[in-house]
Amino acid sequence: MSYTVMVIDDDQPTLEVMNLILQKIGYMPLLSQNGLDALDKLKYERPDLILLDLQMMPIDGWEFLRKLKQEQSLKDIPVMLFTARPLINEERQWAEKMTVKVLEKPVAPAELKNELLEFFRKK
Amino acid sequence: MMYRRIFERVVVGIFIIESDCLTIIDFNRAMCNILNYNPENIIGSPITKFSDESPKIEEKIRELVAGHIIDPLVIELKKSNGERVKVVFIISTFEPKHLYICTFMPIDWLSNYFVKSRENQEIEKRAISKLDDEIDFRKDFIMTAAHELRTPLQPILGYLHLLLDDPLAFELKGDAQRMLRICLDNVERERYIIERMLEISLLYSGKFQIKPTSVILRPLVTEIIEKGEYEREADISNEIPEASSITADRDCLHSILESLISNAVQFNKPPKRVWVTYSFSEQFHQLSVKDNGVGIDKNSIPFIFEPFHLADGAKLSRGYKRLGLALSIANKYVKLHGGDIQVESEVGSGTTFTVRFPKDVIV
Repeated sequence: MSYTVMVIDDDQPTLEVMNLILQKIGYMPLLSQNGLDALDKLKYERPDLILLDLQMMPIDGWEFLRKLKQEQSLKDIPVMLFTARPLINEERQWAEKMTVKVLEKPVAPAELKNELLEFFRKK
Repeated sequence: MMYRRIFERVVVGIFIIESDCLTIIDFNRAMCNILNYNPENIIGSPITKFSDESPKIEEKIRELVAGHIIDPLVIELKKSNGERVKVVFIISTFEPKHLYICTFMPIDWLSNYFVKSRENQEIEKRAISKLDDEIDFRKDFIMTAAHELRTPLQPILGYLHLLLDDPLAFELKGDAQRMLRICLDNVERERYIIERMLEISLLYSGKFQIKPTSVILRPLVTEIIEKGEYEREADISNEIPEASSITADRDCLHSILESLISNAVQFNKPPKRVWVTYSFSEQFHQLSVKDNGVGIDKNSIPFIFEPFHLADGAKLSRGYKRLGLALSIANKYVKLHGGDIQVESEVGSGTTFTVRFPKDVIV
């Protein structure tokens, strides 16, 4: 059984390539173009991990995280930040508290494979 | 004589009164200037000639006699033309005991000073606020630039890897594969440049803060060597004792050591050897990365921490595919911890970089 990894990103080309990469490295992709759409999908689907972009509309990644953590049934889904925007100072602390890892874009397939292997091995 | 000259030249008004009948027995030039009096009409005059508030002065003198410390007065003095000038008036004792020194200056002088001082404070406050805006703008600019530069790289890098990891599945042959490989190499280089530029821009923006924690050194070095696959190219000895730890920002320390290890491997020729060691003194933790590489000319050593500096200029930059930012970034990170990087090198024999972290980095 392969793990399901949800990718939330408002950049369509990124979503498309992540779809292929995740399949190629042995995961089931679940794609969403923004935080609200993702929250809708999470009513019916439960991914094993979420890869979350930060700079998105209508709600950004931090707001999505806040909503996710407030929802009793969703708060335990692990999240990796998947961001092109660097984290500084207090953002680094928030990330440490609320996520399992920060992946800074761009991420090559082999790097993603290693990160996911390491994460699911520990799980 | 010297004291007399000082007495005459100071800009505040001074006169000396005799306590029994409150008459003036001496005065300076500034008193005449401020109150507009002819010097010939002052000696022997009672204090009442110069102020309607002499009872206040008498009261202060009584307090002084009783041994109290007295505050300055704010009173009005009379000018020769009858005009009043408000002054800050200070009385102090003198030898012999029945004489008192009265020093005064128009309160306007002080208020001008305070107005100017307030104006200066306002100017300073505006300048600081402008500087803060400038730093915020730079930080926002860097963040936005990073986002815009990195986002398109994700599909480019992703697709190129997907194509080249399994070229036959996409019917890619000979030249097509070679061309795509060149594209990938250049995208990787672009990625490296963006990462380093971003890192150094953030550091120079003044908004970066370290977050020190306790870091165990040996596994960190092992992780860097393994992830960078440096042992493919060089024989690397991680000689750090198992339990050694220091207080530092882990991400910064990772970046510093990765830069030094990467440099030691890259600026080298076979048989490549690198040693990573730890020692300590009373004040410092010391991490050294030593190589048997090409070495650095001693004339270049003072400049190696400058951004974009490479010890052998453009030749090395192309030869080793480096940018000349890694050491500059590492040095900045170390300085944020209150430490420094020391360099010993001999051309043709190798280089040792020693990073010194103070033991008392505040957590």
